[in-house]
Amino acid sequence: MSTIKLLSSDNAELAVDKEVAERSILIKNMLEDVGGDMSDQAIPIPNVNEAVLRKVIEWCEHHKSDPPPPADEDSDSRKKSTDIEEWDQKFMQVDQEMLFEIILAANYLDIKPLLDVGCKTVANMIKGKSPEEIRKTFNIQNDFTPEEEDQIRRENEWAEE
Amino acid sequence: MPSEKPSYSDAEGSQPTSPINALPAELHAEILSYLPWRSHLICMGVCTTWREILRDYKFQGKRYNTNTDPRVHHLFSTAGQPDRLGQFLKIIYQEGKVVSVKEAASKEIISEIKVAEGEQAIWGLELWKHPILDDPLFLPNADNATVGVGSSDKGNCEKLEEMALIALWVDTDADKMENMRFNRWEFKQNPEVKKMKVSEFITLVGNFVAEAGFFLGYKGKIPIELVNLELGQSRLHFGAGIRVKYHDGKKAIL
Repeated sequence: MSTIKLLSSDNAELAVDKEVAERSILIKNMLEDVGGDMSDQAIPIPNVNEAVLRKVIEWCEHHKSDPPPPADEDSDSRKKSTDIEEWDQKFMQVDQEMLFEIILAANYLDIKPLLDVGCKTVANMIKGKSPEEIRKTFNIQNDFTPEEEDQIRRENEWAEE
Repeated sequence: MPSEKPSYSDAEGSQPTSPINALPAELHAEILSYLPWRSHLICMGVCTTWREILRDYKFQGKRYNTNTDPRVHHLFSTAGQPDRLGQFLKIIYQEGKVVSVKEAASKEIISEIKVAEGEQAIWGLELWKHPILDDPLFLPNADNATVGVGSSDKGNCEKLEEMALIALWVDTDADKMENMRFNRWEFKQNPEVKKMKVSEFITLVGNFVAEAGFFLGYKGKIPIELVNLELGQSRLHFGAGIRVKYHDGKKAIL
């Protein structure tokens, strides 16, 4: 099993099985471009810090034998539900800063199934809450004008029909 | 955790303590796409960023999550063959009156529309008054709108009962097929309309359009198009339309 090295944004060098690292389509394509031999130098991952990168690698380790994600035309089927398997649920029990950094990293590294899990986790945090509760959960500022507030109130009357 | 934000985070600095602001708009959209449409209505009231994302027609294909809510909206679910021609009667309606009638050819794409087994449907005029038209998510943002009334029989017809079905669509930008959306109902299940003459029906539709909250903010002319379409079975000659289904046990609009 060949091992490659990844270099995080804060200059930490992490050794990873090539197979695990290739869960990232970005890294996989990169390795293909250089002919697969990156054993002597670390691949820089400039957008992801060590803590997040370790977390992402942990996810990739656990999911290294998963079948490849469905092609893009199947993207609807992966949205069948916001169910998340138990291991992933536990994996995602992190503070919000880490959660959103994982989502950003999964997007940047092109790890679609991890991006899905991250987005589903956030979607589940939104579900069933009122706008005020959602703002509180994510510390989002209410930036509507009074006119927009009024419009929203009318829309919600419709929704409750 | 270093306090330094990732370089691709451009959260406008409005809420530095809010980690969700580190995400670019497309990832907000991705997250929101996992929610059912009723959640979208709620999310539209959270902040302007989410509101803009959810109102953007580019998001509509992602908007409706088909299984986490018993109601189902299928948007842009049609596909079909290009280059099939139909006939158009374009009736221009303004300030409560039909102002002109024109004939035109359509070059819309055919789409297959089926009413599935076990699905209930609302047919008839109440569709026009149905709240779906006031659904803020259904509203076009553009300044132009066309209301189309389409039929699926052959050739010109004198009476509405000769038409197989009728569709409403709102085309917010004639150059962009993806903006087109429609509902439909069948005349054969709609006896009170069946007896009307085409002109009476157009007046009725015109009155509906003039009164619909959906169009109250619309300032320009709204052309109402009565379309005679050459048909192969239950095919409708429209472009990328929207199929709207309600699966709440009571209603379905396709």
